[in-house]
Amino acid sequence: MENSFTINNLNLFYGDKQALKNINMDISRYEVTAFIGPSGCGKSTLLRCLNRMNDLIPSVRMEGDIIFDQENINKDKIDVVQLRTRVGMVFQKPNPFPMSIYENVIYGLRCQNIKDKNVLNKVCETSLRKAALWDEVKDRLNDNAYGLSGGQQQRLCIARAIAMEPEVILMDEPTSALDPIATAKIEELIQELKKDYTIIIVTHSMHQAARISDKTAFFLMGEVIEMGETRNLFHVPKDKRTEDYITGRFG
Amino acid sequence: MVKINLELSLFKENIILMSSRVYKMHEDALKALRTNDRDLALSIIESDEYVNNDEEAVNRRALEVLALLAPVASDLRIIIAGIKIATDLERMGDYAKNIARFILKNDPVLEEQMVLIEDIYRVYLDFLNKTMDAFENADLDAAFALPKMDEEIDLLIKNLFFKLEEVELNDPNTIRLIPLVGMARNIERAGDHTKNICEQIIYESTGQYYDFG
Repeated sequence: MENSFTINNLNLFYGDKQALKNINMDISRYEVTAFIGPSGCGKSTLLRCLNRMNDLIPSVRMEGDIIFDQENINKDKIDVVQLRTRVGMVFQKPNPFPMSIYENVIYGLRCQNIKDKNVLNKVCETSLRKAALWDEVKDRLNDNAYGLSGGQQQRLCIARAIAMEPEVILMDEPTSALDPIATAKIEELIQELKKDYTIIIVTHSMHQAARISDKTAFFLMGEVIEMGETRNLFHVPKDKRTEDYITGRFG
Repeated sequence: MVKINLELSLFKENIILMSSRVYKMHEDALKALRTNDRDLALSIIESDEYVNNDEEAVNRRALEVLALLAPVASDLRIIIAGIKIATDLERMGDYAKNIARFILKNDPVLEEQMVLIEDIYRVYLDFLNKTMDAFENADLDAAFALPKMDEEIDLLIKNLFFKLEEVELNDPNTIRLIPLVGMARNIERAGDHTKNICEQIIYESTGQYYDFG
């Protein structure tokens, strides 16, 4: 299987503190990869490396390569804005913009100065359909997005990411603020989305990782302790630390 | 103590208790056979009901752990292996019951014939005892080594059949060998189930399915 990302010898420092230690990892295209591990283990930090979100933190220093589509995105020269259209992101807390549902979805296109109403309408509908939200909002596209439920807002954020036609969607604990029904909808949606996108998800729910991901990486204190097929990692983990963590005997 | 640790140790205890009951049934069956103790044979038949209840208790606890604690990795493998081991033990209880029925239905075994079955039964009892020790201690090496004892049982049974070919058909004692054949078959099957338990101990430790044939 082709890789979306190949990470070689990645080290990341917040000031003097090393947050990622010698990460080497391949992330397969059109699969769901889950990052699990205790708080502060570096999983979200690595996720943010994949669309250069860490650039926004001044004290961050990085070494190593992150190859995305044959290009090392860890180099200064790359167009970060363009990278972020290709590698979209959905956050823990739904963060719709204070505007209509319609405007939320096409926000990225507006930023790119696309004005053709037909194109905008089409992208809006396709994105909402792909995010499994169309049927629920098609009659109220001009309503304020804040009126949607938490689960709907999160799917709206996924639609907003999809509207940019990304290749990869990064998800940082996308269901931790949602109830089980909304969580189930997002999980179902992720299974649909992986046909067209590579998905990388950080989750604190081990059972969510087990349910939805093809591969799982277990992080501990900035290191990847074990990465492999999810079905193997949750059945016969190779490393004792992985075993202790997933069976709840850690610490 | 982590709740799942407690639940899993109780689960294992259930299985060990069940195996001691099954072991005692077979041990008593050999004793009843040797002494023609019909009361003891009857008590074996009664014990089978307890073994069936033990299996239910094991399954019930397994379901609770699965439903409430969602085990993964080695925790999950203990549950899966445990459910299967309980099924094997339940069948072994049935074989002890069958042997007890042979004792009740037939004339006492003649002294010179007793030796034919006693050797087989002793190897089986040793096999079961060591297998359950291996389960209790998650002893992978023992689980790989012990199935050799099943081969020993099969060989002894084959020898028994060879001896049967040599008997005089017009000897009035020959007919009394027939129940022995039935009993030997039951021990043989119980041995096969004990071998299955060794496979489950290996699965529990390694996550790999191993087939001893």
